[in-house]
Amino acid sequence: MNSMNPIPLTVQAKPICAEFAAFDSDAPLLSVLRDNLGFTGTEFGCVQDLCVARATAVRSR
Amino acid sequence: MSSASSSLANSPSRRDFLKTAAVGGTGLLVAFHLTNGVCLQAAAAEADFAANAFVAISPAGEIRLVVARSEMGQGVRTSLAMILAEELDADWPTVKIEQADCDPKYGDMTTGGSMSIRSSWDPLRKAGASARDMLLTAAAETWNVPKAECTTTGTNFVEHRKTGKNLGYGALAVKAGSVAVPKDVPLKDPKDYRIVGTKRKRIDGRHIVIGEAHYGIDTKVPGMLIAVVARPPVVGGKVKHFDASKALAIPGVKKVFEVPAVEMPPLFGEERKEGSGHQHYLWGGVAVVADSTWQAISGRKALSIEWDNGPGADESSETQSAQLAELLKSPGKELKKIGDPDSAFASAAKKIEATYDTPFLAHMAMEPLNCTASVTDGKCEVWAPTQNPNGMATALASALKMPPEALTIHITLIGGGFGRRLCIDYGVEAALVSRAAGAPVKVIWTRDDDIKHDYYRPISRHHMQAGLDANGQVTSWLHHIAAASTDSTFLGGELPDTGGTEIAGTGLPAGSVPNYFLQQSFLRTSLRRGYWRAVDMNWNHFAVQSFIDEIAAANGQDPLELRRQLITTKQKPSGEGDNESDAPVNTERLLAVLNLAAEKSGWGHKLPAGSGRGIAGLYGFGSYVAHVAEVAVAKDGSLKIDRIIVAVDCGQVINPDMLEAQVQGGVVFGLTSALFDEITVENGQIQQSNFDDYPVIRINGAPRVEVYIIPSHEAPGGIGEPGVPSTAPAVANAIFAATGKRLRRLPFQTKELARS
Repeated sequence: MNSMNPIPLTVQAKPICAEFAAFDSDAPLLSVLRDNLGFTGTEFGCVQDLCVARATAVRSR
Repeated sequence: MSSASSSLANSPSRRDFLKTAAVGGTGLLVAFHLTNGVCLQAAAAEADFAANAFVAISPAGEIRLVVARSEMGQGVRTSLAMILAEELDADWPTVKIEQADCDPKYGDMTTGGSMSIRSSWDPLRKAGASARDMLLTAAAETWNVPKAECTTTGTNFVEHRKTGKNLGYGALAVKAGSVAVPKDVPLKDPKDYRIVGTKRKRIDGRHIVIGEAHYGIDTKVPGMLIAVVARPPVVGGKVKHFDASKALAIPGVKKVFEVPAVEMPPLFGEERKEGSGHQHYLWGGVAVVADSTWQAISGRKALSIEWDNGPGADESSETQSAQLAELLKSPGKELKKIGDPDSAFASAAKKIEATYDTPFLAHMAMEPLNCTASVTDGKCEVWAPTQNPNGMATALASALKMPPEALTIHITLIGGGFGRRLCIDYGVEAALVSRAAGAPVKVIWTRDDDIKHDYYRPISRHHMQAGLDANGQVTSWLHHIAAASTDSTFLGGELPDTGGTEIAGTGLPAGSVPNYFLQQSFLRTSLRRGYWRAVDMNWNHFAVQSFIDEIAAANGQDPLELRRQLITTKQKPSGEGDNESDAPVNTERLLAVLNLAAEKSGWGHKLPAGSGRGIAGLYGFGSYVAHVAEVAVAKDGSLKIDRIIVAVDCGQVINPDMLEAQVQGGVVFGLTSALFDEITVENGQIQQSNFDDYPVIRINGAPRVEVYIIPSHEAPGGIGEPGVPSTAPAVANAIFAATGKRLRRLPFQTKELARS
C-alpha cells in the first residue's frame, strides 16, 4: 500500500524527486500534484472525470 | 469588525471624501470612499477619516490601487484599475492591484448585486483626477511655472508644455503627497477617454491561464492540514453516533471529531427577531483531518455515522409541488394592487391563464467551496474565497466568541461565486475545524458536498391571469407567486412588506394596465435558499415574459409589438428599480434594447419550418438588456439553440471585452438552468451529486452569443447578473414560435415537443 521508493518525475519542466512515504498508492494524481508537490494549476473540480479541470498531460519514459 | 450597515450619523463628513498623506517617504497616497453613507469605525490614529480604498504612488513610480472587492472572474480588478488609470492619466497596464483584507475601514466589502462598478465609478474617478491634479501642482512648484502650463502625458509623466521638461509620477510622488487635496477637480470629458470604453485584457489573465493564479483552494500555510466534513444528508439532521476507528486507521488521517451546528447571524448585518424561525445554522457533522485531500476523503469514506435526520426527512419534491398547488388555491399576501383587478378580470372579454414552474437550483461554481483557517491562542486567521467579508467577520466573531480585533480575513481570488459565496457557512466551519484540530486547516468541499449542501435558488410556481377587452387591450393582470423565500433563510419570519428579494421582474405591466394585482405565498421548506446570480429576477421574469407572449398569441399579435404597447411612460420599474437607490426605469432605453436585439436577429424575417425566434427584455441592476433566441426543434423534440442575440445598454462601458464575456457567461448560465438543471429531493435528501446529474453546457453545446452594445455615457449599470434572466423566457418564446407548443416549466421538458 505504501510506496517508499522515490519516483523520478518532471513536472512543468521541474525535476522532482517525490518520496511518497506513508502515501496511499491509490491516491489520484490530482492529490499528489496539488497537496504533495504544490502544483495547483491542476484544478479540483469534480474528481470524477466529468469536468476535466484536473486534466494533466502525462508522458512516461 | 462591525457590519457595514450603520447610521450616517457617525460617518466622516463628505468633505473628507478624499484625503492624502505622505507617510514616511511612501509617496502620494490618496484615500477615498468607494461608497458614501457607510459608517466606518476609524481607528484612533485616523479618527477623522477612514477610507475604503487607497491609491498610492511610490517614489519608484509604482501605482497601486487597494481594492476592497472580490475578483471572481468578472474582471473587477481590471475594470477598477482602468477607471483609476483613466482619470490619473496613467500608462496602461501599469496600475497594480492589491487585494484588501477584511477591515472595517473599507466599509461594505460585499461583492454582489452587480454593484462593484456602479459604486466605484464616481469615487475612483475622483480619486484618480485628484491624484493627477496633485501631481500637476507638485510639478509646477518644482519647476516654478504656472500649473496651467503643465500636463500629463498618459505615460506616468508630467510635462511642462513650453519647455518639454518632464518628471515621472514617482519623482513627484513625495512632493504631491504634501499638496492639499483639491476640491471639485473636473473629470475628463468622456470623448477624451483612451482607456475606459476600450477593450483591455484582464490584468490577471496570464496567471489564470498558466495555472499560477492563487485561488482560495490553492492556499497553503505552514503546518496546514486538510479536512473534509461529513455533513448531515438531510438539512437540520444531527449526528447521533459515529465510529472513527476505521478512518483513524488510514495513514495520514490525524483527527476525527464532531463539528457543532452553530447558529449563524444574518449575512448583511440585518436585524433578526428572537424566535424568527430562521434556518441559518451551520450544517454540523463529522470532520476528518488529514495530511492530504485524498487521505481526508478516504477517511470520510471509512466513517460509520448514524444520523438523526429530524423532520426534514419528510420532505420531497412531490410534497413541495403539492404545497405550491395548495398555496395558489387561496389568496396570498397582497404586495401591489392597482384598480380592481378581480372584477376587471371577471368581466374581461377574453381571459388568459397560465401556470409556470421554476425549480430549486444549485450554484456549481467551478472552484468548490473551501476555506483555510488558523485558529490558535485566541486569534483567528482565515483565507477565504468570499463575496461577503463583513458577513464572514460577523459570523466568525459570533461562532468563535472572539472580539473582532482577533480576526484576520484574507480574501482570495475566487473561482466563481454566483451568490453562493455571499453565504459564510464554509468559513465558520473551517474556523471551528481548525480550532478543534489545533492546527491550520483547509476544509475542502467535494463537488458532491457542494451540490448537496448549497443555499439553493428557490423553487417557484406562478399563476398568471390576464383579461383583455374586445379590442385585445390588456385591462387586467394578476400574478400570484408561490415560492420559497430567500431572505427568510437568514432572517426567518414571513415575507417583509416589500416582498424582499422575491419580486424583481414582476413589474413590467404595472402602470401600463389599469388593473394589476401581485400577491405572494410562502412555501415552507427545510431546504436553505440563497442568492443565485440575478436572484428573484430569474423566476419572475420567466413567468412574466412567457406570459406576455401567451397574450400576444391569443391576440394574434407580434410579441415585440405587444411589448412596445405595454412599455409605456407610465411604466413602473421591473427589477431593481424597485430599490430606491436605483434610478426609475427609462422606457426609451428599454425599448431601444428590445428593438436593437430584434433588428440584429432579423426579427420579422421568416425562419425555416421548425425554427423560431423569441424575445425577452429587462431593466435590472441599473442596466437594460434584451435577448432574442433562435431555436430549431426537430421532429423528435430535440432542441437546438442556434444563436442568442443580446442587446445591452448599461450606460458607460468600462471594458467592452469583459462586458461581452459577462453577458456570454450570463447566457450560458441561464441556458444551462433552462435546459438541464433542477435540484430534487427525496426523504429530505438532495438527489443530485455532480456534473453528470447536474450538467452545465459544454463549449461544444454552447450557442453563438452575439452581444451588441448601445454606446452611452450614462452612469454605468451592473453587468454581472442582467445577462441571465431573459435567456430562459426568450428560449421558451422561441420554442413556441417554432412549434406552437408552450413550455411553462423549467428545465424545459423537450420530449413534449416531439411531433408525430
